[in-house]
Amino acid sequence: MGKKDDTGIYYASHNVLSQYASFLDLDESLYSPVIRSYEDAFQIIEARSLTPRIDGITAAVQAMYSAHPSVAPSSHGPICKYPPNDAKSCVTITQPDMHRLKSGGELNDSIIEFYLKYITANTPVTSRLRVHVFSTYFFTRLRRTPDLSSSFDYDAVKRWTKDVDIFDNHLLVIPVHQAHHWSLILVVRPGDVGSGRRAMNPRPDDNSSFFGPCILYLDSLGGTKRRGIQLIRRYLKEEWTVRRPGEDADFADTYYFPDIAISNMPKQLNVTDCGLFVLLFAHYFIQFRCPEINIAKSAWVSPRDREKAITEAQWSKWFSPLIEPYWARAVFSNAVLSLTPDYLESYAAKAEAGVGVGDSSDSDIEMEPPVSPASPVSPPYVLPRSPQSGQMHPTPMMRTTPGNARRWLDMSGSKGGSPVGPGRGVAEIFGGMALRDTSSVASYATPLLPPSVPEECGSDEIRTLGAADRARMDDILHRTEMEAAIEVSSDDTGSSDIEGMSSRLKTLKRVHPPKARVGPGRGDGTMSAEDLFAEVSPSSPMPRVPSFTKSRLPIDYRHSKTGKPTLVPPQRKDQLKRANKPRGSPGRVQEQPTRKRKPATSRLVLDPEPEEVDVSDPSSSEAGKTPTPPRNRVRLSRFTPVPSFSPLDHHLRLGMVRPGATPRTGSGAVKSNREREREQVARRETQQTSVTPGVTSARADRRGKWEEVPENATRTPQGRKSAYSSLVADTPGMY
Amino acid sequence: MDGDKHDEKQKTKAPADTESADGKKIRIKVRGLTGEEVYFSMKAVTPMKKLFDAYCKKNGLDQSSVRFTLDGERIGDEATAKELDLQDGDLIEVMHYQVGGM
Repeated sequence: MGKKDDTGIYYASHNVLSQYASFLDLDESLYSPVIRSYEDAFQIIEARSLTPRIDGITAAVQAMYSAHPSVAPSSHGPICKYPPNDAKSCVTITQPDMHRLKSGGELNDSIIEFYLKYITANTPVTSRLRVHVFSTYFFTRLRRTPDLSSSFDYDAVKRWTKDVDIFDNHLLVIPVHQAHHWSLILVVRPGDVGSGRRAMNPRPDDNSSFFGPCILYLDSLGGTKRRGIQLIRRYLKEEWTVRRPGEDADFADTYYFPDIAISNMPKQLNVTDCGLFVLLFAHYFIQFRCPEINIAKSAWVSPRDREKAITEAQWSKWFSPLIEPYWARAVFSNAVLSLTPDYLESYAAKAEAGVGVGDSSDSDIEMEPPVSPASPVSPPYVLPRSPQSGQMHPTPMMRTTPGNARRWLDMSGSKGGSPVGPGRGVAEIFGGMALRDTSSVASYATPLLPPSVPEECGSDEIRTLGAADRARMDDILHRTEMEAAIEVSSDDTGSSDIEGMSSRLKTLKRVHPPKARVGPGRGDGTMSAEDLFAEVSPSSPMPRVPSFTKSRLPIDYRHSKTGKPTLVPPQRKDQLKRANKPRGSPGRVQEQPTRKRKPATSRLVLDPEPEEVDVSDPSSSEAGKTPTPPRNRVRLSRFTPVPSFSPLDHHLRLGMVRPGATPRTGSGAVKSNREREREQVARRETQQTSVTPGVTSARADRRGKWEEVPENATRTPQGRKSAYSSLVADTPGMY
Repeated sequence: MDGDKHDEKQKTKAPADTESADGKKIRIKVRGLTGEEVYFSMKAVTPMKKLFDAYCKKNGLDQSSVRFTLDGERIGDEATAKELDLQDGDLIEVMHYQVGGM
């Protein structure tokens, strides 16, 4: 008999261990030294016998397959098939399935279905009930249609029981797979729900009559699964109306036909054994080796008493959750291995005769083009296919839309004709799964739409630039010689940063004239910013994209008193219109921008008169110095936003930093960003040093206390840290 | 719904059964994991392995990750359409493998 340990878990008796060892042809000497802990004994036996045994048998099977390469299965060759000679239902156990039976493996559908059928067929006839085992796919299929259009699909499983009347059985075994978890639904005596046979007398010769008609739910994690049980009730009702027309049965009646979720049975102690527990529950129920149900036999029992007796039975002493899974793994693998020699023999015979299953000539099988399902339901997800080949798309995670194809084209380098130069290629992004050339990408999305950039939204174009281009242009723009050139040339000091950037870009063009190019890009295969500019020809299909200048924006990002952007006043709309006109239009009026500007007297005074400067127009300011560039150069103003990647410029544009607040020196030339930052730091330092120790801070003033608050000691992290460390140093007993 | 279809097919097929020699091809419907349906035409004596191979190859599936079921029962790859009593237009459902641990 067994014994109880201190945690109350019922431990298997010594018999189980010896039985386990005898399964594996092991000597008692292996486990008797460690009999103090059953679990240790099982683990040692498993490690020394079961795992090598499974490894050995799979290696032997693989060796046999490789001995007959002409007829060998493609991969993962089967170890056995069950039932052996049944064409209509054949569970194939493969080598990977076998490895799942090792300790720590999670069972899959093949093993579950195999063992449920195996134990049903191999239970001695004397103790066997009439049991029907459902497929592991029964509940999955009943629960929902593949396209998720319905949550109850009786039609899908209607034909599954065409050869059997489930209401003739004592026990229906329904394995449930849901969310990486196996559980079990048992329907006991479903035929008794019919109104004609409500015999409530438990008969001593019929174990299942103790349970009466009921649904049992066994979940080794302790779930209740009310919804799944409702589905089973609906299924039984539908099946009853098909099988027993005219007879009455109320499968929704929870009094005569209760559902009981047994809660105190052995639970799994890890996250891998739920399949084993399902098979163990089924194993014991099929043989009806259950805890005793305390019901008076041969007397009428009310359904409620029966339910109470089932719930209160000592399910916790059914078997040991610690030991039994070990035993179960050995039993299940032994069941498989008992069939393996016969299977391998028959396979070898077939291989000798040359009646191989492996000779593959595809001549006598043809696939017709796919037809849409009968009902026009749209599946929730469909893997995108290329329209030409019907093959699975190599990157099924991304849908092929014109926008996507456009983006891929832009990312895939200059080969596809994209003007943005070498960026991240498709191969780099998808890690070797890439398409061979970009033209095939384009063919997925026909017609390839030109990028539809909305007017006044020039910043969208930034996205099409590769990161390398951005970095290079940023680099170019921050060269020291460039800065020097900018300082010399930019006397239009009143312009905000956007205009400043534009003027810097102009200077850049002037200082760095386009080199004589051999091909597209430089000799080393890269492309400079100037190359990018020159790539865009007037005949390019790109629509004209407005430059990102202040005058083109509908919103004026220069600062109002609140620092928020304001709408452009209506009286300046005509100016905007003029500025937006195409370059070659005859009615173009070249206007010199006004340059009125008051000197920044104090940080609170805003620039009162924002001026209108079309800096992208080359003839506006430096028209006399530089020759008018060819038309294709003019288009390049679409790249004007590129130099805006300095963080300070970004803040300026968003109005977070007011440029007027920056003190200007000298003639008020536009400072480079670095210089501005340097000045701000210097200003802060002078402010701090000017604060004398006797002056109290405003914070102290607000508190109404005239106490000296050393600002940098409390606010800066260094000050806090020093105060803390001094505190620690002063109190030695603290740590 | 499927049952009605099968019944119709069997009725219309009945006279042609006499000439269902080994060389005659039958059309088998295969319903994939997402509900799409494909027709295969194959000889009645061809083992099902060829159908499985062709289907998995077309759809880029690993054959060990799917099961082919007929009325809820798994089909062995050595079975032929004749042994399975497959009629013209019968449905083979492809199921995904199931693994459970916790």
